[in-house]
Amino acid sequence: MLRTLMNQEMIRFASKASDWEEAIDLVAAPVLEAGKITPAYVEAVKENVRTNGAYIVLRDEFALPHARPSEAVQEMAMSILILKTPVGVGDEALPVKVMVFLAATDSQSHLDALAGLVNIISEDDVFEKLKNSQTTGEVMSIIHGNSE
Amino acid sequence: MKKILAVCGFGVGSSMALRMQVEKAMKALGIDAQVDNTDVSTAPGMNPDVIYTSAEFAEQLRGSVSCPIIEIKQFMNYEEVLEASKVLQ
Repeated sequence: MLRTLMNQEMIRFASKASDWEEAIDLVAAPVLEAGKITPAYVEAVKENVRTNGAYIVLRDEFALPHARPSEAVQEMAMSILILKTPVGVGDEALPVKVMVFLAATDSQSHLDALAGLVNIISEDDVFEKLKNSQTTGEVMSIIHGNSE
Repeated sequence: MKKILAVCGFGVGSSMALRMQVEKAMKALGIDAQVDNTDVSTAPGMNPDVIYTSAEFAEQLRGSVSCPIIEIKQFMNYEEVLEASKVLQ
């Protein structure tokens, strides 16, 4: 399921972002362009970081920006941004190189894909490869090699 | 069996990642536990034995739950979750 969700169009690269809000705009862009969410959802995601802090930084150099399922999400989506230069997230400016943007329609449908993602991100050697990827093909092969 | 809850703001993303690490830690420590995940407003009504969450959400929960709350900085950091879980042994 992760492979279907995180297809080629959903993979983005950038050399840097000026701040975490810009990084969220960059990672949300393909989902927004595909019409799966409205700009209100992106705003809700940023509000979550402002209100609840940097808990979305789930491990060193990785963040999972997301918000509550709402009518601003038309279709479940996941996109990924890989930054060459880390961006600081939250008050403590925790450095993040890989961001996965999650838009869920309910509390269940995306769980398979999310579990697949957690398996990739929580393995140090796989994450190392992912954060150093430079092409869509490299990211695709990591996702295909490690998920259903 | 211990009833454990992994809690985040919405119960859809981060708490699921945390739950997977807690399940792994419970297995490693040989603790018999049922681990679920949910959002910060639903958690108190579920009467868990233990809650895992971030410092911010722990602050919000303290007024409404009496069970122990284990604070985790990085939800996907297995070593941190394992170390913090040793108090349950």
